[in-house]
Amino acid sequence: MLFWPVVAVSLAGAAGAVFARNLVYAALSLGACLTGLAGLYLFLQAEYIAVVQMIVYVGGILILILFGVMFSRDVLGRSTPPSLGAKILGGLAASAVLVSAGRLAWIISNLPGTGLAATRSPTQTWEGQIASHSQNHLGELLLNGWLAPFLVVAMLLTVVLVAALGLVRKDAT
Amino acid sequence: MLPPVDLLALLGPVLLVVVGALVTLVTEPFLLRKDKHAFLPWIGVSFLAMAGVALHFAPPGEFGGMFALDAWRGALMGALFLVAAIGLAALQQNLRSDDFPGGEPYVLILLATVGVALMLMASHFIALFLGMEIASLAIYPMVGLRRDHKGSEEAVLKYFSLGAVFSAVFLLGVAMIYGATGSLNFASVLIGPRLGIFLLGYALVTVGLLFKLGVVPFHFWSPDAYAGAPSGVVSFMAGAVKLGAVAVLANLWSSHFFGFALLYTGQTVPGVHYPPAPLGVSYPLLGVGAFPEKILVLRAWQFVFVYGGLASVVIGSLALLGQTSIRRMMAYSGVANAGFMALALGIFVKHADARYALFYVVVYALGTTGVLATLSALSGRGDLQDDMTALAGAGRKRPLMGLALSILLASVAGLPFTAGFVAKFQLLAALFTDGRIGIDALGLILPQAMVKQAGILFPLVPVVALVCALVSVAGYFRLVVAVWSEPGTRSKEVEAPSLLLSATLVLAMLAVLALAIQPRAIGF
Repeated sequence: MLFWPVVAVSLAGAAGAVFARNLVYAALSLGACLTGLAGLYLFLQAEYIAVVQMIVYVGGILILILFGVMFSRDVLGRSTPPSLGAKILGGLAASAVLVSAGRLAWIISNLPGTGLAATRSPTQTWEGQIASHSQNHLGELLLNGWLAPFLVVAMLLTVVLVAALGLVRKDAT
Repeated sequence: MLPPVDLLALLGPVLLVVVGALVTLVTEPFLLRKDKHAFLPWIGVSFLAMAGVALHFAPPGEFGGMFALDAWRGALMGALFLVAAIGLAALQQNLRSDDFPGGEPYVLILLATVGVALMLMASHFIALFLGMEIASLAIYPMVGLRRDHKGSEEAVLKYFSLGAVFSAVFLLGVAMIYGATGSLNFASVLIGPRLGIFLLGYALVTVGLLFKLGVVPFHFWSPDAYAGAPSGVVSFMAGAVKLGAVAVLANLWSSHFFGFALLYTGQTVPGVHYPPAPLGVSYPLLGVGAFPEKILVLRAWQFVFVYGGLASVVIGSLALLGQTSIRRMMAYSGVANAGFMALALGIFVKHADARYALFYVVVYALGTTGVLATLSALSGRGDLQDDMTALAGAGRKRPLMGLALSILLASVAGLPFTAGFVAKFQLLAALFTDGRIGIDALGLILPQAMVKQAGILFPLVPVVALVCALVSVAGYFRLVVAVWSEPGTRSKEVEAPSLLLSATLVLAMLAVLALAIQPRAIGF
């Protein structure tokens, strides 16, 4: 019953992000779209991915985008009609993505034991295939064998931050 | 096989460098502009020294199949810490004379050191990639440090875009290897029928690493990147990146071959991985098993290393003769020496003996880093006197810098009484001992009968390498003569080297002379 409203929110958000003339509204609609996607992940029983989607995309990246939009004062509050070239290029890119995503979905749904084929046969269910305790399993992996790379990733982020700082420093004389 | 050890004990030396970087980072804002360049490098060097001491006491072993430490890795890491200390000192000289407003470059050198140290220790593709990217992402902004110079933008653009492309190539290879083995560990065993995709993935990974090493035909970035970056940065990256790349290539090859041998001797189930072995130690099974692909695989990689290396030696040695910019000359010298390292890796592939490559890269890293570090003092503000004629007489004004440049350059060139001579002599001797090296590899592209004929001919590869090594000495000699000659009309005042630079260069000179007398000290 909740499924179709969530789909509607995602689609409306996506449409808003594309068609909104004001960049702030576009960014906020993107937030609605990403939140809707998190809902879709819940329907797929991927709770962990849903939570990560909320934390990383809605909580982190969207805020960064909003910051970016709001800090660039020239853009704020002004409508920016895209040029014809941008429209054509964007249309081509979008249709390419649509075609490949559709093809991928088609292939996956026809694989034995997954997708539509699985839902059609009542004997095969998704339970057990996707472990409902996936987050526990992930946590164990992360803090056992993968602990060292996990720590090193933090180093990588530090490097990127310091490098960015070094690059944008004003050459004050 | 290495015993499992505690993560903190294993990564202790590296963590000390991390702490050094963080301390430098948080101290920086509290210092006045002129004090930054006086104090920050000392913080970094003191933590590097502590890491060196910790390295001495670190236990050999591995953690989770991700990282490993052994005798050769320890020797390479010790060399890396010395290279980083020299790099910090040279950068101090650069930034002080440029009156650079910030201290981030010191932090970046320390973080790049961490990245290369992780590359050295890695025995897992994820760990390796993270180490590589930490090193690369820290070096890119340092290459473009002088934004007001025109060559600087070209340098950083070329280095960054090519580096990103080859990182992607490397990752594609890793994905294919994962598909073929079901594991990201180096010492993992092939799933039987997936040999083709495994070899393709292994080739892509090798290409990604040969780019880092700067072997022909992946060398085009290095002259421009070297010429556009501050000499302190060049001195660090010339030594450190090569240390990491050679260690990884040697490590990957032995692990990869181990997986093969296990598969064909039927001692294992595919998709399983084994704990990492010490670097440079041939697996006990390396000589075992006449499996069908052995010949093909051996030939293919001999071909890559021997002929890529030979092309690098020829192109680098000839190109360095005509250079007037010293950084450009050292870039081509880097190409030539990367060629020698690739030849040494060819020996490793054929004879399972990695000592030549590992000793060579340690000696070369100390030499080239030291030479370029003297340049940071001798070539003045903005490295504007980076020219043979402008440098005339610089050695008379600053004898210590002149001496360091002469001795370390002699080591890079491979002249007697330096460690560079030992490295080059042993390598060429090994190549002459096996005169057929490279000829067997030709079996990959030529019919067998022709290869047999070619065997009668003279040992092509070692002779060409020897001639090029001798020819390149002339190019190096020009620089030494220029530094000690009468000051010319174009030569200007030479600034005083900092205490740190003098101290670290004296250490490098001592190391290069000591390794000539006692190469066994690091396992050669």
